Amino acid sequence: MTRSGSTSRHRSMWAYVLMVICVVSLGVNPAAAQESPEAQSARAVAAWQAGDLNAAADGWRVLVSEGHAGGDGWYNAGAAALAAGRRGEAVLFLERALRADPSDVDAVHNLALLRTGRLATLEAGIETRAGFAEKLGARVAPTTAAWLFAATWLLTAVLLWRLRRDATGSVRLRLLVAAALVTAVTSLGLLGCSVVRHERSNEAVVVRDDAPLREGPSADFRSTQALPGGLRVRLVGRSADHVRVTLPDGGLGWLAATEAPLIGLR
Amino acid sequence: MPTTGRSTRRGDVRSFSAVEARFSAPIAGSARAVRVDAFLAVATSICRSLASTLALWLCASTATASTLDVSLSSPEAAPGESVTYSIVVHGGGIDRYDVPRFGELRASGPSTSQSNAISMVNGQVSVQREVSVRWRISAARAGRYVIPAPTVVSEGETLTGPELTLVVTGSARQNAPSAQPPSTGFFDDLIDARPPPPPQAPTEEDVILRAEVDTTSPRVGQQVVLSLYLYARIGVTRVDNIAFPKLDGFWAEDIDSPDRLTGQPRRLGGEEYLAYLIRRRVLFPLHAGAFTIDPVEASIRPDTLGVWGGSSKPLRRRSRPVRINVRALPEEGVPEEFTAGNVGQWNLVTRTDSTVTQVGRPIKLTLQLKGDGNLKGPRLPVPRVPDGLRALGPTLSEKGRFDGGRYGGSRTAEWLLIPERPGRFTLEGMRFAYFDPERDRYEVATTPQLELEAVAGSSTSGDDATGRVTSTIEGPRPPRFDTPPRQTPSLPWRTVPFWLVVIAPLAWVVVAVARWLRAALLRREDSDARRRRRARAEAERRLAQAAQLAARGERGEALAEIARALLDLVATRLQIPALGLSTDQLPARLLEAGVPQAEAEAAGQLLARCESARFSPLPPDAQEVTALREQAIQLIVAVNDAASRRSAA
Repeated sequence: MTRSGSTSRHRSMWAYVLMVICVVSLGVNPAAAQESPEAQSARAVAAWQAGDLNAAADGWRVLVSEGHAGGDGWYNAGAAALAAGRRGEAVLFLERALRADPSDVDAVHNLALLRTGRLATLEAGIETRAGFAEKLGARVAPTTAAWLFAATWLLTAVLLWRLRRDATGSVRLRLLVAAALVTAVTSLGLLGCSVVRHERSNEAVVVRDDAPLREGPSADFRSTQALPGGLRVRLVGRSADHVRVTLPDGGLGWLAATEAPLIGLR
Repeated sequence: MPTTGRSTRRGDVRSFSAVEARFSAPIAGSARAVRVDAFLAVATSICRSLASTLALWLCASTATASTLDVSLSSPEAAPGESVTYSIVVHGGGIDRYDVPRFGELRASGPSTSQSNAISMVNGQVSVQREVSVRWRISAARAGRYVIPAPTVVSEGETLTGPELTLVVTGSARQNAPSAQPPSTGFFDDLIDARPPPPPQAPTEEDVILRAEVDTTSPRVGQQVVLSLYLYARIGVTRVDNIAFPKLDGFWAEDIDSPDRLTGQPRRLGGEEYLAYLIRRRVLFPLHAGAFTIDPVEASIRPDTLGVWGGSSKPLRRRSRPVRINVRALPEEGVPEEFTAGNVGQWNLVTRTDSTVTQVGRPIKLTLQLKGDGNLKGPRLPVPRVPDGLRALGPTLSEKGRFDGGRYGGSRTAEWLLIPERPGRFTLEGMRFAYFDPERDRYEVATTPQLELEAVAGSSTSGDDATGRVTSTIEGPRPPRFDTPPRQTPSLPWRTVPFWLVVIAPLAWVVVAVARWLRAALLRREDSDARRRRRARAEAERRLAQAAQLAARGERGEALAEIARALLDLVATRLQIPALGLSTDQLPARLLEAGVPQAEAEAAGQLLARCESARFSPLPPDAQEVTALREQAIQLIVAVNDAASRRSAA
């Protein structure tokens, strides 16, 4: 009886703690508590239509940062950032939109508009320096590559099962098995390229205009040059809150980690 | 097919005949045989003709008598003018010759050449062979110069030519036509298998490296064309290892590096040379002062195929230093817009792809600087964009050229101008101030102002109703509102369904393989057990037979059966060819097969006793046979156990 009463008290205490945690977390993030993603999106659309480009860009940025980048999330955040004149953010979000769907012509178009002037000069030849796997991976959506492989793999397995059961030894069935196997292996290669592109790529974007490139991993080091927002760099090292980057022309330096987020979401 | 004996290449003809015999025998009578026969007949005929021609040529070339011609390309010349002195042997080669004594005449060379002309008239083959040695000679001053008679040994015969006289009169003639003979052919030299004429090393004056500039007192930023020339009086095949000095104080553009050497006749110090352009650079002085361009060095490989008698040693040459005095730009009359680097002869033009567009649709504004000068130097003016227009860019591009001895080209900047509201916009004209070194003064290039108009509306680009051309360039594309927000999708390979699909067939494969392995193991186990049972039954049968034989008094036969029962079991269960082994060898093999040592030795002893008892003059008694049978039964059990252990292992 006593043990039962003690257990009941414990349960009440845990329930109380959980309730407090919920209340506190709701208090910390009132927007999440109050607004659904649909409402946030509607607010961003309204701001856009009213000509408040900064508010629209902010709205979509918050939406994608809270994990609602599906559909046109990345693209909308990028397009709004472009309209608001935030070149770095625009390039980052549009690049992510392209990674999700390489056939997104609107994202390609807007990126082409962004890559003019100094950015174009600094990034000259950057595409040719990417590896083969990355180039191939950039042409296929990860979803397409993955499910193409899964489908051909499954088909190969089914045909193999049929072949095992087939007592007549049909040549047509054998040819079908061979074709399916070749397709599966090819799509596995494609999937590998896509995995490399999304999981192994160390490509990042400078999100702040005139971001100082420093000689060492802290703000105390001398700045050698100011990088334009939207410039693609490669992360080659990390030290606390700074990352070591390689510029498209081969130059090396350190940037604050928040100024050069990775394009790929690992 | 008969073999001809006339040709010195009889072996070849024989081999063709052999081929023909080998091929024609097995396929005679068929259509294919006819074709092969025809082919072989034609081939043999060609071979015979070639052999005959070669024989005739060799005979003709050795039979012709040699003659010597000695000549001057011109009996008269001006001081410094070159003429060619030639020794030509017709109808034979040159074994050796004495270098002519030119005396006060200046000579360069020699160059050798050889030609062979084979002609066939009415079946008669004649060969015209000609070997020539040439020098280029010149005299510094007027006078009569006698060149003594040359002596040449050809085909073992000594030939002597005439004495010649060169008359040098009057003053030096400029741009006299070159009397240089045609250059030595590569294949002619290869054909010439005779020892080369005595070599003569080239002098410093025969090959000269010169760095030349078109001006030695430029202004800061003014272009200076630096050309590296090779002046040569001998044949040159290659120039390499060119060591250019550091051009400190200059911005340099490499504009002309010819892949092939092409000589142009030029005079240098009164002498005729072929001048080869090696490298050309345009230099732009970065600041005023006196500069020295250090010597350029290069390795020159002379034409070794006949000209210099096989000397292949490259010549190292060094140009003289070039001094340049760079003057500062004038300080008077400097325009307000002038920036350092704007030096040259420039024109500035602007254009737009349209003058009317819609709000949000950009107009491309192009600014182009064209002319002569350093394309990297000038700083292009930036358009002042009025309110309501947003400028993206610029995109910069350059196109260089070298034309008429001047370096220049165009530098282009492009902006996208995006109207943010409807209305008319005025882009002010742009000004570009530069220093013109030709006129030695500052100039200002200007562009007219541009009027642009943005209209409201959402019609597509193209000609509008008023006939005005609207922009064909699209502006930024807006966000898309038609899809509701969704969770950021995970990458497919991070989801469970994907791995289920991938693993399911693998699981099926694993199960199938496991089943197959199990079935194979069962099959193997079955066959092993069967063999064991059969071997044991056979051994028991033989032992029973031995008991019956012993009971009938046939004890020798009984012992043979006992021994056979044991040996058969050993052969079947342990795969040991026991019947072929002696009683001494068996224990060792049984030990190897895993039978314990005691049993292995007992088996050896058992077999030995069986053998000795069978062939002993006294027949074995019944007790001994029984004991041996009992022992055999124990041994059979031991062998069976050993075999089972081995199978399990």
